[in-house]
Amino acid sequence: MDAAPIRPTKSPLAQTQEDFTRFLRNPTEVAIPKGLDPRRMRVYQGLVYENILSLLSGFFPVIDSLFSEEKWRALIAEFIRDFKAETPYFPKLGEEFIYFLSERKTLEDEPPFLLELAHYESIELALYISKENHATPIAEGFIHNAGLSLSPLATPLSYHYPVHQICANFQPQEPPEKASYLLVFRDNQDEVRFFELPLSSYQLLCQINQNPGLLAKEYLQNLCPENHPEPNGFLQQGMALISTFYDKGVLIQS
Amino acid sequence: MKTPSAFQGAGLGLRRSIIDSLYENIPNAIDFFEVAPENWINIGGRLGKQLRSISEQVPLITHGLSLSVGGVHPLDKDLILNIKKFLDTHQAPLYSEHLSYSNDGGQLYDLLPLPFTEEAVHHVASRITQVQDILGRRMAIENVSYYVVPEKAMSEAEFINAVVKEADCDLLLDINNVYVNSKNHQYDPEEFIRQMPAERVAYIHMAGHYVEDDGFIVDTHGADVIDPVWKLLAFTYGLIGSLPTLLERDFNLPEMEQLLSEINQIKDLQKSQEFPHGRSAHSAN
Repeated sequence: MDAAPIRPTKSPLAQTQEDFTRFLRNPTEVAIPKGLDPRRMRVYQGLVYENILSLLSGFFPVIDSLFSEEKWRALIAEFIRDFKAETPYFPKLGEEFIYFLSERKTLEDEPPFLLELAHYESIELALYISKENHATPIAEGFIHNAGLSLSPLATPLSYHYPVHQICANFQPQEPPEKASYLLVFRDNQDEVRFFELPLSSYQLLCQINQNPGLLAKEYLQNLCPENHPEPNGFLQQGMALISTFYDKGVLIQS
Repeated sequence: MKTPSAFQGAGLGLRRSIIDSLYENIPNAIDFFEVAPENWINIGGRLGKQLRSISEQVPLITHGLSLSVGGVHPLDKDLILNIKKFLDTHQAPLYSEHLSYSNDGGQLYDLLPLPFTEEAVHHVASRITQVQDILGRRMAIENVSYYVVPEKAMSEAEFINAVVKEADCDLLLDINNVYVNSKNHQYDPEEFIRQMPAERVAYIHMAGHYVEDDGFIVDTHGADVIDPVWKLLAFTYGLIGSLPTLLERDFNLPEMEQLLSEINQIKDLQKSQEFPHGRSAHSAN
């Protein structure tokens, strides 16, 4: 029989830090490390907790407003206890919280749209601070002959719940029959704007995003149903739509 | 035209909430700004442009929060390389971090206290050395506020001196932290400052704090600087010279006028002090 593997012993420093942080993450179940003043340890616990609470309340103001204070505080405590956020960058903490939500089962007394709403709330900041720049516009008329792509500052989104309408007075408990399609976009004034999209526009933008570099006409031909009664009308309407997206900078030359 | 060597005088901690009102019209009293790189790395858009505009006008120094230089989990090399890039982009004359840890395998985003032991000295000094090697420059390490000492084999002053010596790094001396610790751990703050390695102090931090009902002090950076801390700053200048000094204010930000009056108070103190060793505010590198 093999000998039991030798467990590496922790250095005193590592042990001290482990005891210390285990308490900070789970102050209701883990004892305060021996010899340390309980009042002062609670100061540390409070500082860690309130800092993360304040950051996350800033990232997710709508969720914060929908939850009772008690429930929101409990969710943050669970996040600190169960999730090891890795990013050193504060603006990325919201993304860590979304990972945490996506790995956990939404509780029965929590809104069923929690994860989708969190995602929606995080997109605005992500685009606001994105390092991508606006493309230089190409000459007018060129659009018909240019390979297209989606601006890195534009993101088409689809949600089961109408996350853009959710507020204290509107909290659907079931997803409606139709999904919500949105475009979030940072304009050339660096303001982030949201637009509701019809399904066809959403599909067009997704197709350009997944398969960039084709001509406008090619995307429209791909999207046109075979039995469309008026394919020319479809193409014309589609070209007008592409021009509008192009003028706003949502579509760019690939 | 600014140069990195123009890092002197009095600076202000730059928060996102005040940059919009500052970047086009920097008050004359503000000689430099300080940011946490972890708030600004990979930030583009309007905020990124505003920060770039600021660093083209006055020196921008950096004060990190997330490196966990005292932690036992591996150093985040990506973060260090991104900090290096950030320092280059903004020609930042200085990078500092805290003599603490924040990571237990995940981030706790706070400054947790190290034990004052030989083991911790060697551990943190070797990690500071690694960071300095990657950055290709010396960094400064800040004395933090601490509320408990997990283990005390030496005094705080001995601990700081040992780390600075072994890591061959600079010291960012936070006067408010000295005051807060002197109250919470009952020691003489002037004696403590006398024990600091004067020739290693790269710059100074000033801030306000919160006093709980029973006199226990929590270092919040959310209030005006109090008189005893001003007196301690004057004492420090008298001892080691009028080094560049930064006012930190992270919460409860008052009107700019109030911040500027504190900045001007720093500058008045700086002017009223002689340089005891005939040196000017020295370069951080």
